[in-house]
Amino acid sequence: MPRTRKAHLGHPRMEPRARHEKGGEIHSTLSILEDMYSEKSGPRFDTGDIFENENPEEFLRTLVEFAEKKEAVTDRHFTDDPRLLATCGEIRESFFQSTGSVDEYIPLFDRLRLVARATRIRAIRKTFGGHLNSGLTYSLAFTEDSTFTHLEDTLEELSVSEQIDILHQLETVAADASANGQWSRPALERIHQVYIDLANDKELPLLTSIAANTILARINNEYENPQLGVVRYSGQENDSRLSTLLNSEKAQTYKEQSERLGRQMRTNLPPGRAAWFAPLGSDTLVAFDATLMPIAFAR
Amino acid sequence: MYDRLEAFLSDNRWGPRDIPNAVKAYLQCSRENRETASAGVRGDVDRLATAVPSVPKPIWEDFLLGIAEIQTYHAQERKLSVEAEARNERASREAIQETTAIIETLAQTGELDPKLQGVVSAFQTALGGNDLEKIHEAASEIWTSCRLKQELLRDHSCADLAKIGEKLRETHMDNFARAEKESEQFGEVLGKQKEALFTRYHTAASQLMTAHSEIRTSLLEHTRHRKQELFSSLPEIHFHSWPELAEDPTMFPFTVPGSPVEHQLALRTLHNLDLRAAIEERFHVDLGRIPLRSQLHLFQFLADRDRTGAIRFENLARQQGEDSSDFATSFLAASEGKEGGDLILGVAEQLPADMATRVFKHYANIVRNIDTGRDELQRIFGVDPDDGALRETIQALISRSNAFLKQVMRNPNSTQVLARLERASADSELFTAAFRTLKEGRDIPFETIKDVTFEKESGIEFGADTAAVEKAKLLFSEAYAQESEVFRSAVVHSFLAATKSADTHFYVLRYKGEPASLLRFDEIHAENGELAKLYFGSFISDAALGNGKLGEALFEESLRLETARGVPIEADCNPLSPITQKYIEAGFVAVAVADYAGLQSFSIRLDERLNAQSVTKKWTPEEVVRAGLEKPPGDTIQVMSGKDPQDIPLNLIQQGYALTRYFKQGNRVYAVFERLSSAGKGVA
Repeated sequence: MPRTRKAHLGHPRMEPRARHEKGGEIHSTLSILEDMYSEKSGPRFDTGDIFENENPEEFLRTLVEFAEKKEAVTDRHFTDDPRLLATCGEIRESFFQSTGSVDEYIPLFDRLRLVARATRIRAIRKTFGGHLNSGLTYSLAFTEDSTFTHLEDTLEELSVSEQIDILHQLETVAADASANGQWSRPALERIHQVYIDLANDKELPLLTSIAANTILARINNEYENPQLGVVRYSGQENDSRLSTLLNSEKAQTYKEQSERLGRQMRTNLPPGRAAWFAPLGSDTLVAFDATLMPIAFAR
Repeated sequence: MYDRLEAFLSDNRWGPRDIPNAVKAYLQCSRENRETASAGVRGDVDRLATAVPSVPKPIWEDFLLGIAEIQTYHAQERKLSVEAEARNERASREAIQETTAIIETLAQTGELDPKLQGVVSAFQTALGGNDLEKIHEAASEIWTSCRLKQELLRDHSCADLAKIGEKLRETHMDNFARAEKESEQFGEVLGKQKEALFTRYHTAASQLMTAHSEIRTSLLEHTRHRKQELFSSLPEIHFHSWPELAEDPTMFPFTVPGSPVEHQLALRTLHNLDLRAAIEERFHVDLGRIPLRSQLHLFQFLADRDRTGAIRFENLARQQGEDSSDFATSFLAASEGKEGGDLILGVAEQLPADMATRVFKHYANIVRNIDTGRDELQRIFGVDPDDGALRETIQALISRSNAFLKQVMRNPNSTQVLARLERASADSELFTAAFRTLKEGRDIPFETIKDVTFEKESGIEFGADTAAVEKAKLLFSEAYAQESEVFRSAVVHSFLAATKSADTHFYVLRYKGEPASLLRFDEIHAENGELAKLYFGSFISDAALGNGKLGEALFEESLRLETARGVPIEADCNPLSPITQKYIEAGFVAVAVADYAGLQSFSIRLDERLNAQSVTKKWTPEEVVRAGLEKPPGDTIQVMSGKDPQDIPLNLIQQGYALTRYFKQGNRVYAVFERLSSAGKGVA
């Protein structure tokens, strides 16, 4: 059954106030996040204020940038940041457990771009990443938005790396749409059409078209053998970023190679941190996490 | 494998019935990890007896042999069933063949009953595939339709089709009945054997199950021990965090730093395994054979909004075939800008194929050396990868190589230009190797390194650079300031003559473009034109640069390269100079004393055959010192020592000895003289 959420697409952009008044004090979004992170306080956001007055995009961007910076520190030690996970968990409780999530107030393409950026962060993938992704499924199933209709034009503004990253995010939305059944079918059909258009668009860089073509094959497989189900688990990462390989013809080859490599070496990586290993090039061995995001490299 | 076994053995739900699976899993691990034991069941019994010594070996033997015998018994049983299936399959094929023939006839004569049209079409479609089950299923539809519809049965052909189905059903039933009967007979004959076999197995299994807890503990302990042993024997691979790669300025040598997020994203995209597979298929390249830095710049080149470059690359990579890896590796040229990538494409499009292949081979070699060079520099000098100087060093190497490419493009027919690129490729190797010989370079400021180049140049090439020749003359004057004017001018004269010779080559270490260290080798040819030997003519080094260590690195590396040519190397040197000790310890042997421009001089020779004869060349310095104290018996070897080289009776060389060792240890100089049968022969 479709969730009964109100989509506020095309919400006019406003200057961010980035402040929240509670108990007579004024706090910036960042300072509240820092306080939550250092366990000085809980989420003291005035959610009504964010929805009514503040620019939700700015709010989400501040949140993503905050998480990016924190994770960049622990990434160097191949560990998770428990305080960041706790902060993101609290954000999920405050902003993503009820109808009218903060992300829905952002124009669709900007939202897709921001969600792609957000789900590059492990702590977000493990907490509210899935909500961000399924929010996109819902909006694509039930609303029209010009920024999405001409996605290829909008994509043109971005670097090829970001274009491909966004296409990968959209693939996860397609997987979510496949898993949700009938109500989300329009989202799946729209995404499918987008990939067909991008694969055939001669104005885009060739690599983007190649990526679109590859993903097109994968979402067809995804439809037959979905990786995602309707039931999700806490800490599940692939509901916000799908593994890029699991529905690929090459998956088995890479899996065998990865297992062989794993058996042939000792590493300084914490146990269980790397899910895959692959030699990528004549001089580099890369370790990936379960969603096939690279986490470490060795020469 | 041992991980999974450990998890299985540690499972709280473990019980006696897990014994067979635990044994099976253990044996599989043990075999896969090549634990010492003979092959087959005997080997497996030994493995288990070692892992669980508390269980008597005969029990393991009964258990495993029992399993093997039961498996053989079941295999025989299965064989009967397989034979029945094969008979059925043959019958089915025949029935299908007959059906096909009737259908074809009906189709040709136009007598096919319309009621059969649907099932016949399905049958014909199934025939197009290779799946016998599907074909049989479709044929069954025809047979059943004909049999069940009375109006069809009136038709002669349809009645035949129904009969085929009936007959086949009967044949299949007969076959199964026959298999059942044979199985019963088999059971009667082997029943007793079976009972005995099963009893042997069951008795052993029940003994093992009784001791299951003990077996589990032993297996778990053994598994953990083996896991630890195996783990310790594995090579340790040190991983770096992903952001470090994106922040490494040498990955993006020409990009202004400050966009690590964009760099991270580019690297992440490049590591999308499925996209990589698609790129490899589309562009006919094996990314696994290309260094990561080249992949990154190739990726950025292919990512250009203008598809022209990517399409040109696609066509050319296809033509390159086996050499496409070198072609793709050369795209590091694009790190200097898109023009660099266009330059590579231009080489592939405009140059004759064999020449283009050679160009890419050399360029790819430079790229690989840049990679190793970077790692060596980082290791030796302990520089931070963020160090700007490291980036500049790599920038300089790429720019220089790109400049060569441009020259090649301007003069595509010039073999001289190609030779220069080949030289640049060799120089990049020299660059890395020379630094490697430094081993520990922390007392050399890394800032110095970025302005250092190592090159191999012909005498004429070096001579054409008049400023370099003047600088070299200055270095000679400084190096031989203590010697007589006659000697100095003889040395300089010999050097100047070499700068005009086509048979001479120099190894030159340049600092900011000026020579700071120089080695000269003259080629001496036999009458038939073959290279007979090399004359090591000069070695000067600016001591101010890196405390002379860079010069030493150049000396060691160039000597290694020249020795590899397989001909003797000869030289003359001052016996009292400390550098002579370095020559002797580097492999030379002093075989004669001569006069060089009024100065006593050693004739030294580096000859693998001579060194192979020498006993003392293999001695460690400690062995030399000990031999100096103990005095070796006989007169083949003489070990001398003194405070200074002047204290050593160097005239022993004139008495049939060769000087094989010569070094300073503590405050004493040691010299070893050895009688070598071929010493002195063939010395110029």
